[in-house]
Amino acid sequence: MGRYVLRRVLVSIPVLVLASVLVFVVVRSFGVDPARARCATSRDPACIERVRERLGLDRPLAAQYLDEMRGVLTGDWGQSLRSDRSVAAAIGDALAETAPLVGWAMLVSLVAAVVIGVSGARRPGSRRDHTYGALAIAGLAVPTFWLGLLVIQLFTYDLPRWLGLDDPVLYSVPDPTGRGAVAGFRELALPVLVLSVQLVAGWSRYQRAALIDELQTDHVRTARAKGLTERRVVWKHGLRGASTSLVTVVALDAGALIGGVVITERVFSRPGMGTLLVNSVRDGDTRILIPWLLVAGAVVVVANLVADIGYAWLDPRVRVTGERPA
Amino acid sequence: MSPATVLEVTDLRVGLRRGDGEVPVLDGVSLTVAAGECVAVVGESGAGKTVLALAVVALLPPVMRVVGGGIRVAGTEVVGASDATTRALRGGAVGMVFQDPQASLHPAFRVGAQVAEAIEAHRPEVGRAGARAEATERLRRVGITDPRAFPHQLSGGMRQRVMLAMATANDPPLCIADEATSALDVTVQAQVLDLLASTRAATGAGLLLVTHDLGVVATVADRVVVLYAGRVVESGPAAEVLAAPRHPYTQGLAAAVPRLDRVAPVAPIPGQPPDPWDRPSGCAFRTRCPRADARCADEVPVLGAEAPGLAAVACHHPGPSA
Amino acid sequence: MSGTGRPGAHPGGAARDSGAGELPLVGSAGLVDEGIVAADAVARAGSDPGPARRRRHPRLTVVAAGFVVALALAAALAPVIAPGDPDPVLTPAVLAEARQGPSWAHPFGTDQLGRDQLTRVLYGLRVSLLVGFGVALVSVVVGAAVGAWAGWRGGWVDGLLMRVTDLFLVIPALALLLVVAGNPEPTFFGWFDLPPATEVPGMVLILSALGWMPMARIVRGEFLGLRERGYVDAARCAGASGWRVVVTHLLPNTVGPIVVFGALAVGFAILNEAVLAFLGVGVQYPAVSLGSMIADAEDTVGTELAYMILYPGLVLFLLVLAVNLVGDGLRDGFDPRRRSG
Repeated sequence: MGRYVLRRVLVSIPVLVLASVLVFVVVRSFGVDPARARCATSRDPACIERVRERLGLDRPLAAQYLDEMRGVLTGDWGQSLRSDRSVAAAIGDALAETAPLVGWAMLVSLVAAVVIGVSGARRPGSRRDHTYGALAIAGLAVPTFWLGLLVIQLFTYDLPRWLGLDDPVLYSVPDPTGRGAVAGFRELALPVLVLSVQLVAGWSRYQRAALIDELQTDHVRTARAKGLTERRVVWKHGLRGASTSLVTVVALDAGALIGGVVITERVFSRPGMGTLLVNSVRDGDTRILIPWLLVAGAVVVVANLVADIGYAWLDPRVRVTGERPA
Repeated sequence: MSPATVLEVTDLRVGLRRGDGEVPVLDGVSLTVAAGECVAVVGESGAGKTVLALAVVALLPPVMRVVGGGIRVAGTEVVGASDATTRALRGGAVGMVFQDPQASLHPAFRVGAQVAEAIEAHRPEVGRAGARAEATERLRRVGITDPRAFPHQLSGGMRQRVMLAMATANDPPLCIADEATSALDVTVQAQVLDLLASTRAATGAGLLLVTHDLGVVATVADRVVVLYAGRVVESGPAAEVLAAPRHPYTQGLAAAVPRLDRVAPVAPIPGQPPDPWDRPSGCAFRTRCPRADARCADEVPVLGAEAPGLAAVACHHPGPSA
Repeated sequence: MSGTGRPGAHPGGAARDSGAGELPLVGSAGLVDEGIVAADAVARAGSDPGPARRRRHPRLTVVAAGFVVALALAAALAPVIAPGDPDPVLTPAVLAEARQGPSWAHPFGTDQLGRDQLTRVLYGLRVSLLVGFGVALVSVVVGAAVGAWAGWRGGWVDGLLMRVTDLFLVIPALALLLVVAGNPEPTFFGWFDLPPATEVPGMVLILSALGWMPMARIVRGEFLGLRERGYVDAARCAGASGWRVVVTHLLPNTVGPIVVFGALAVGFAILNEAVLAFLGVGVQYPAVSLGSMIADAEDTVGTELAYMILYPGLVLFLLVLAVNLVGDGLRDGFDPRRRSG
């Protein structure tokens, strides 16, 4: 197993490296010049030149890239080109902000998606199933930034007003009123909700479709022929086989969410990894961008590894072939 | 119904729902299986054999439903029974062995656990440890020594033996084998058939054997029921029906089997079995029958009564082949 | 909107599905499979009770299609039917109309400067629809062509396609889009000028540049599957040239997935454009985008002007919903399991 993991990690490295090169080149060639941005308020005509020299931006691209990579790999991530702030600190803070948000959203969404998907698959074509389907289509069509704002309107302003409360029920900004579980819930609930809508919409339909297919297989028919309760047939026998696709998708989305949360972060004023990405791209700040990419890439790799372990657990045949099920 | 009858099917009608209505796949099928008896149901694909087997355990696919008739298993009526009754029946009073053990065993669970599950579902008083122990023993009896194996680690014949152990885990009075040997090599087939026979002998269970293979029928069956297009066309003691069939279809089936001891060329029955929505009027076999006449197109032949030494037949012109 | 996904799975029916990230162009997982994945997501979101209980909803699809057509007409006729001016000169008369809630004169209300919101929504719709259909068209054409080539030839072309699309999984498409979109004078590697993202053609170009990949993979996958079928070999035995086989045999059989993808791609493109506009990238003042309208109205949350957020977003939502319903309906229509009962 250890060797398998190692092999997967090794295979991912060249892809990450290639991606980092590509991004570096694109951002440097087509993007904003950080020196220009820093000198925006300066009246000194030589400012740009000076800054470029100080930051090493006038050297050949290849040299810059290699320096950057060397720094990243040795742990010295340096300072932001834009603000001289420690890159490690910036990424660390961003990660601390994004991780709980994404983590909770995925957990909530997973549970909800499985429950909804199973419910729909047990009685396909029923009114409940159609309702879930309609909600899913709607959930996939809704613009997240709009949804976020509406949700804020409802929970932070309207609801308290209707109920005659002073405090917002749920917060739309990081809560300054202290720590604790309840406070944490009140401040994370809305952004998690907004993120979850999309995740659940997609995941639940995927689960449902997979389970419908699975419930028509011969081995599920055997389970029924054994006289097992329908609940056991569905949850134990059916779900086992129907979950591999969901596992894949969840792993994919985990990686995708790191950057994709930027809208939620913006609407709920919680600058994290997504905002960091957008800002560093805007500023042409490759010192932040490259480590960001590698951190995000690492998350993707880990997520996929977890997914692979999940496959093996779900379907013992995989342990032999080492191949992902379809 | 005598106390020793484990299965009694009475005038069973099963319909298949299509966009434009419902067509019959089983049209008035009746048969009985006594304790200790092996009844074979034969016919070509599409005759309705598997539908019959599934109907007995109320596992018809959603597009099909029972529209008439009755099924009694060990005295309990299946048609219209409650969920609880049906569940108790499946695996408790009826054990089913399906055709493709590769697909029919759950790939993610160990074989011992799958058998134990069948035991626990019907005899919870045995307890988890007890069920596991019993499962191990039953598997050993059919020749599987490692209950912790996964299905994909076993050969086709071994998997079928696991299916058998699972189906008989609660010593049901009725076993149904739906093409249980069709996916296996001949030698493995023989082993599985042997096992079926010895299990029956041990528990006195009745066996409903669905197959298209007359060789299997000749080997193990006490009685034979021949199905064509959802209707019984001939039924009786196996020896008689096979040796001296009176329905043209049965005769055709027997003649179509390649045999080493006959030099005559194999004679296939011309044509194809009809689709349920395309059944000829009157006798469904008339389009392929050398004896068909106008009466066959107008009247559906009714299954006669069995007499000693005479199989029951549903034909306007029964009799030995010309 | 959902988006994200990973190629590698057999595209088409068995594709991955997800609703990840709110950004259609999700961060780490590029747009590559967004099409396949999210298309599948939307497609699956439709009722699919399986062959036994499949019920068609042609009426719903027709209604949705009608809605889209109606919106398109409204947008096209905007100069004629709009109550006001999307970018009026701010005379005292105009300013006097500021901050009015929805009324007969101003069905969607007015903003702080007195600009009629319905008018701006109609003009914003123009951008959304042009970008949406433009991106879908280009993505489909380019993607199908490349995918067909790769699927037919196999070999290094196919390998290259797969590697390139795999690469975009790791690269945050958003990052690239922001970079390119932020550049006011983009060029194609210095050879010739490209339209900037602040204009519709530029936006179409940028979104298509990442949007063709899912289509390519879908078509490639279909071709690979179809090639295995006997009739391709039969046609070639009969002397048909490769080109002929592709055009007369393979492409017609791929029409289903292509059309479905195209329909769903419209929805994604619309949302992508809106998201980019919300982030400040894309059409700039004085042009209007639904996304930028909402961004401008962000501060009105909780105030009496909150309708400035509600209406543009509602129109956007309904448009995408209708487009997705049409796509879902098309998918049902093309389903090979289309049998009654």
